[in-house]
Amino acid sequence: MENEIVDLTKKLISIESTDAHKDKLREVIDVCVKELEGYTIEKFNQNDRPSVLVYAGKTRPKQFDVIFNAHLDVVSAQEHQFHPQEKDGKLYGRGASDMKGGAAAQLLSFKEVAKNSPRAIGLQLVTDEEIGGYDGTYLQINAGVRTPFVVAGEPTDFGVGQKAKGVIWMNVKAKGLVAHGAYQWRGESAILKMKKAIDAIEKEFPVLEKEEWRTTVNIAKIETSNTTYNKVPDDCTMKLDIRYIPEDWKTIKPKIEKMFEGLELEFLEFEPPQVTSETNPYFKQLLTSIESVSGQKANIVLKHGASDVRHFSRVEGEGVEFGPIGAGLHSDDEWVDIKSLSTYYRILKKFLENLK
Amino acid sequence: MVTAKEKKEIISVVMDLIRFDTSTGNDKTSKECLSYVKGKLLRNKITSRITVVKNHYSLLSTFKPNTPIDYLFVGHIDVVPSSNPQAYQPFINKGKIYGRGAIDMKSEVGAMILSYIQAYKKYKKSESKLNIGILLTSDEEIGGYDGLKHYVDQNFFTAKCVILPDSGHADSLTIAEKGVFQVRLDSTGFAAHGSRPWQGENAIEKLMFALGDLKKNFPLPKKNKEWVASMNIGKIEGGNATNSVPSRACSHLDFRYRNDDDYSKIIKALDEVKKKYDITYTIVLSGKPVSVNPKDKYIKHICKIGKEYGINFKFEYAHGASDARHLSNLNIPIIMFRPNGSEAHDDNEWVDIESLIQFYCIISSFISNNSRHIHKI
Repeated sequence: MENEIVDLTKKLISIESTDAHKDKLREVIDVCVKELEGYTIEKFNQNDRPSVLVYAGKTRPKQFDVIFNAHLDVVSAQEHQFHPQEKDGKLYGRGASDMKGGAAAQLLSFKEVAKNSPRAIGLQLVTDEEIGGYDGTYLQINAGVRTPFVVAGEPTDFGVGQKAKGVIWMNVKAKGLVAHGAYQWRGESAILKMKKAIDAIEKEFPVLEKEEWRTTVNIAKIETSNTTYNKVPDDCTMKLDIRYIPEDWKTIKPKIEKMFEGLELEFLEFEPPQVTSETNPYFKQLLTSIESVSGQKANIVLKHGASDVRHFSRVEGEGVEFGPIGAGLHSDDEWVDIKSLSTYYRILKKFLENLK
Repeated sequence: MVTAKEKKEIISVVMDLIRFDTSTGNDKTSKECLSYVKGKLLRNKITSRITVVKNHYSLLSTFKPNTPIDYLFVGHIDVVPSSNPQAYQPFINKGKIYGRGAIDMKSEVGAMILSYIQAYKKYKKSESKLNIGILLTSDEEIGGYDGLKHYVDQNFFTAKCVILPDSGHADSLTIAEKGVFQVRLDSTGFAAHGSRPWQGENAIEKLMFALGDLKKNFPLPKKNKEWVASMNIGKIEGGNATNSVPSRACSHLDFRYRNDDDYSKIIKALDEVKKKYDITYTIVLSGKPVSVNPKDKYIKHICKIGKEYGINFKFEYAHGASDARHLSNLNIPIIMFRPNGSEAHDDNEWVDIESLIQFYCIISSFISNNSRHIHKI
């Protein structure tokens, strides 16, 4: 089985499925579909970003018991990274870890079990996770796809991502009054106004020294249209990247509005967090399967970044990120541990089989 | 006193000067404007020379070449661009001349040209032996480097007293102008994914901390009367992708300072943030403060002449810098006052005609009528 997983992973890696190459997005989906003979393939497409929903049986169930979610798109890379290489038990290449290795194992375990399972199992293959997931997972949810439990095969080194932070991208804009820099009392500096806003951030969300499960605010960008040294600037814009813990979901917006009172706020993205309750039976079943296959207790992890699982939060769906061992995601040196791919496959297979 | 003919001529020259759109960048028009002045001088049998440095034209004329100048008129003919094309069509309304450059500083330049011509006539009739000069430049609004600074650096003249009516008011002489010191701050951090800020170091935050420290040293002046060193943050820029911890940020600062002590304080404050936040700073522009001793004989003299025209000159301190800063190393007394007019650079620039005539009378009297007297002091 290990060979089969590695072969499929390599096949997927060798397709340069970045968002800049829409034909490659179609190609990578086609390669997967070819593997899934005998299953119903429901095709979706939005903005030239194809995705499929795969299940046994002729019609889509109202609600799936479990959905495996895999994204087949990758971020751009050096040319050589699209030629997968095996070395010292590792498979190198763009997407090896994020997440074509995981996708191959998910697909093959699904293929093996789903047809004979009494439960409704779905496989979601998308091509736009790296750019937000709106044309894939989100589109499918809007088309009525539901489940109480989704497993996104993102790289987690076998950790189970039970929670992931929500994301807010926003602009904060300050306005002032122009004056000559030597006569500042005649104007009002928008940069100094912004300085106050930044002080408020430091007070409310101090910079973390180390990893902690807390809401973070990153000042991603700051600028003013003024280019002259001796002018009091009358505008200043700051872009924030806020990652909030699910516990802050309901309070974060009023908190922000209070913190930046008097400034203009523009919310560019307001993404929900992802959280799975400990009593979710599928979640419990996944932990059991991990323990029985690997012989080790599953490691619960909290994710600072979001994945496509978050889209299910909008429709009360829960889910986790769970994937094999790898490293170097988005870097020039991305790899996945080959042995972990087959372990991952076995865990997923066990998990599906145990859903009686 | 001034004759009706002289008054008419002053107004006409000022309006002629305004009609040249000598906005920053219009170097060809500046050359034409100076050629107009050259022609005017020539009609009065005065020679002058137009020189050019990096597309910026200047005109220099003196009674006697290569001789120390007793009184040097200095002015600039360039103006800041106006969005209103009508601004270069001067008109008179209720005793005021309106137009771009009316107060900054084509009226003053016009008055100085005519004052210079009148003095020359007396010089020719041997009524005066004084060597008077006039230097008109066309790059003051962008720093004056190719104009006045070039002339100073090249030792093109030595003068006992300079009249530079680009600051002050009709009833007050500027005796100090703040120095200007502009620096660029650069802050460097480490990039990281925006979801894991603790793995990086945010260059914008570091920069903001540094600006906060600097601001404590140079609090915002609240009113005109606060004669203190100040700091303006003109620009700030940093970051790129929304989901990244920015690794670079920069800021442009404009300090205004009174004296050497202030200057040391600025350098000390910059060195402190440099050390504390690992920030670099680059000096972009440095212009010294200008100060004139109110007890200087030339200042006393202009005050005396002012009184003859009913003006009791006050002394004032200017927050802004002018071309006068290029003269600060020469230790020459500088006469800085100007007629009543609007605050410069707006689209309704004006000068009061009566005040302009008075200005003309005072400077003319200053450089000729009583000039022998002062040189005996």
